Amino acid sequence: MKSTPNPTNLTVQQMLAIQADVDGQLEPPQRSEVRALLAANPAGGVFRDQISGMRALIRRGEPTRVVSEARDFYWSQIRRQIESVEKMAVPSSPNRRVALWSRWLGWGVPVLGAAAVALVMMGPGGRSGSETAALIEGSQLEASGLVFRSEYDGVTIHWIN
Amino acid sequence: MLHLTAVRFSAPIRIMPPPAQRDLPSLSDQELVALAQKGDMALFEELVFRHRDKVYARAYLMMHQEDAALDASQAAWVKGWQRLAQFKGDSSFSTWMTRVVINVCLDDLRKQKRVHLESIEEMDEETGGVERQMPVVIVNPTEGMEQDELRRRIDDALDKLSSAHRTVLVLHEFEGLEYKEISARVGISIGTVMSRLFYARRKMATLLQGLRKERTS
Repeated sequence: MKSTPNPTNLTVQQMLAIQADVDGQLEPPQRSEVRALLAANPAGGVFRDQISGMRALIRRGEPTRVVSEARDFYWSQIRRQIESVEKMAVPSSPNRRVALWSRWLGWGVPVLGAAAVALVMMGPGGRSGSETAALIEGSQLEASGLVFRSEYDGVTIHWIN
Repeated sequence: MLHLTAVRFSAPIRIMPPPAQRDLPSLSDQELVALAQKGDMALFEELVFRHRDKVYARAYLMMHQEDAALDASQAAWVKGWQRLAQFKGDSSFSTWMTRVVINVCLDDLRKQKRVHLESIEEMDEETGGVERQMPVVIVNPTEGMEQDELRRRIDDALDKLSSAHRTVLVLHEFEGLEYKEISARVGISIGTVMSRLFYARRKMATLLQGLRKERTS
């Protein structure tokens, strides 16, 4: 009586190689090696048939499932998530950033500019207008020029050497 | 100064009737996708309705928990909507969506893995410790199992696999991914893919044989 070849006589590496061949994952040179192994060892053929059988069985019996929730309820949950994600994404969108900058440039800069001028005019110690004129004059002299400003007449004269 | 910009339309504008007046079931997936890509959420809803069971089934195969699968399937639809513009029609919409849900599930499983260590059994299998203790068995696919019964039993057997083994098996057998694709997506070596697939199949064979014996006794 002839006994069936036992696949456990194969090494794990040989089994993995045969499995990869069944799965169509081998390059031609590796495939040739596996074919040689199968020709030399009958246990290899038995193992190949077992793997092929399992593969076919599992694929044939792919489990199916049905969403138990009603269509409207299932969709409403998805839609709510989409709207929530899109709402969160809005502040970081480029268009939104441009709009914020435009708004900032529209009123923020003039207000800050006016505040800066007021600070210069008033100074930390609350100088008068004539003192400010003298200060301007001095700094301009260092730069080889002369500026005279009369608050009373509303006139500024620049004299450049 | 007021600047005026001239706008030219390269194609005539087609005004779509409201969703209620459209015969959505008569439209193909491709037509629905093309229209939904312009931002019509009602058309996307029709796509969800058509493919929700398949997407949920794939999520369940990966997660094997109803709540987790439901959450993953819904998260996949949200991502599907966000990335709809990237869908070029290289595969069917259904295939594209199953890839999206697979990615969502893999992310979820990775997060879970941070808190749950792999079982000792898996670690033994990875190092070849138990390969001789689980003999390969033959299951005759044509032997007395009806399709529905086969599905249920495979579902039961998948439930008994570890998450690591089930993931590789599902990605290869049902999602049709090659070893190298599984390796890249799961973040494991090709050798580990081969090993996990091998042990997953052996365990499935053992479980299905056991079920068959129960049935015949």
